[in-house]
Amino acid sequence: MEVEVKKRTASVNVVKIKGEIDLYQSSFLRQKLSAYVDDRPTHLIINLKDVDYIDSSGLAVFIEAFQKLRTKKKQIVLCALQKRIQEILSLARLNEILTVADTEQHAARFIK
Amino acid sequence: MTTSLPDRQEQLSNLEAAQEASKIFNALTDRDHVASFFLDMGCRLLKARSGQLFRLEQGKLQEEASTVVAQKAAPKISDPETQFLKKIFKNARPDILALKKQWLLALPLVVRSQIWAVAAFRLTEAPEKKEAIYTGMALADPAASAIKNIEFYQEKLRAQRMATIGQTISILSHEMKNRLGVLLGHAFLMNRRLNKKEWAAAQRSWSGLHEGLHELQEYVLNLLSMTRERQTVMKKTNLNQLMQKTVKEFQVKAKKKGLRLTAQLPKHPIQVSIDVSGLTSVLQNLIGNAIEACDKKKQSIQVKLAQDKEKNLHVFVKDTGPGMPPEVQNKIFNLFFTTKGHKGTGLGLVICEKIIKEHGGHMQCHSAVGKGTQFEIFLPSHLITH
Repeated sequence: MEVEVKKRTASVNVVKIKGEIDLYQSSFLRQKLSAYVDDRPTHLIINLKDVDYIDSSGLAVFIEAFQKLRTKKKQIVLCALQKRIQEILSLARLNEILTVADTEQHAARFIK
Repeated sequence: MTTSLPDRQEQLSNLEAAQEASKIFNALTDRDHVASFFLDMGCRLLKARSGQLFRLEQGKLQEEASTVVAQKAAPKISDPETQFLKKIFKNARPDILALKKQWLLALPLVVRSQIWAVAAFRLTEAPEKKEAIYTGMALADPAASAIKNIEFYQEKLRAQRMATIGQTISILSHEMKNRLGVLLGHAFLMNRRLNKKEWAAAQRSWSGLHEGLHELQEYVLNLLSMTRERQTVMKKTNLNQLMQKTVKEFQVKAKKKGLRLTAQLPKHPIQVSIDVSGLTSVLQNLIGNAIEACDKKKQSIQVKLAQDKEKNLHVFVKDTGPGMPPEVQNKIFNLFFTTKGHKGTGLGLVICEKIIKEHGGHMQCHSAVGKGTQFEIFLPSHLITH
C-alpha cells in the first residue's frame, strides 16, 4: 500500500492511497494519518481511486480519524470510491456517518 | 402484527450493518471511539435524534458520551426518564419509554453478567418495539464487549508496567545498597587509620574509596544512557582500523589469561559512517565479556568482519569458552540480567543492543554449552561511505 499526502489549500490535505487496506496495512495508514489528525489537524480528503479492497480494520482507521477530527472541528471526506468499496460502505451504513464524494473537486465543496 | 416487505428488508439491512459495525468496534483501539461510533451507528439504524451513554455513579446518572443528529446539544433527561434509566440499570433489560409523543429507547451494556452503562436513544418516530430493541441490542452487545476488552487490555498493560517499575526499583536499590556499603566500609577504615595516623593504610582506603566512587559513577552513567536518548554522532571512519585498534587494546588482558585473541578483517578498507565511540564500546563490551567467559588456557577469541552479497556488514565476536545453556541465552539482552554475580550489572549487552539498533542494525547470539559463544552484529549497507 502506498500513501501520498498533498496539500490542496492551507487547511486541506489530500491523502491518496494506492493498494489494499487490510489488517497488515491499516496500522501503517493510521500512523501516516496521525500527522494530519493528531499533530497538526487539517481537513482531509481521502482519495480511494486506487483502493480495491478495505476490511474492518481499514474502516476503523477512517472512523477513528473522523471521530478525532470532529472534536477539532475538522472534516474528513472520502472520494472516488470504486464500486466494491462503495458497496461495503453502504452495507455497513457508513456512508450515513462519513461524507462520501464522487471526485476530489466534489469533496472539496463539502468542506466548510 | 405482521411486518411488511420493505420493513423486513430494512430490518435485515440494519442487522447486516450492525454486524459490520461490530467488526469495526473490535478494530478500534480507543474506548471513547467505540462509544462514540456506537452512538453514531445507533442514531442511524434506530432513526434517533440523539444518543447518550450513561453510567450510574453513587446512584446518579453520569453522561459518558453523546451524539446528536441535526441538533446542537444532547437533550436534557427529564425526571421520569431518569427514573426509567435507573430501572434499566436495575433489571438490565432493554425497554422503550413513551411520553407525550417522545420515545426513549434504553439499551443496557452488559459484559460478563455486569451492567456498566445504559445507552439512551431519542427516537424520531413511534417504533416497532421488538424490532427497535433487536436492532439496538445487535449494536449494544458487541460495543460493550469491545469497550470492556480495551479496558481489560489497558489495565493489563498498566499492571505489567507497575510490576516492571517495582522490579527495577528493587534491583536498583539492591545494587546501590551494595555499592554504598563498600564505599562506607572504605570510609570507615580510612577514618580509623587517619585517627591512628597509619598514613600508608589510609592511602589504600582512599584508593578503594576513589575506585568505588568511580565505579558508581560509571554505573549511573550507564543507567542514564539506557533511559535517555543517546546523542549519536555519526562520523566517517575506517571500520577495519577501529576493530584492529580495539582488539589490540585487549591483547595484554587476553595474554594474561593464556587466551589467543585474533582479528580476521577484509584486506580492503571498509569506510563507514558510524557513531565511533558507541561502536567501540560495543566491541569492548563483547571482547571483554568473551575474555571473562573463557575459563581455560588456550581457549581462543576471534573477532571477524565480513560482508554479504548486499554489502551489509557482519561483525562476529566468537569464543571457544564454556558457552551458555538456552535458558541463559534467552535472557542475556534483558535489563539487569547478569551471569557475573556481583561483578556484573546486567547493563552491558542491553546498551550494546541499543547502540546497534540506533545504527539500524541488530545483534544475535549463538551459543552451545562446551563449544563456545558467538555474537553477531548486523550493520546495514547504507552505513558504508565510498
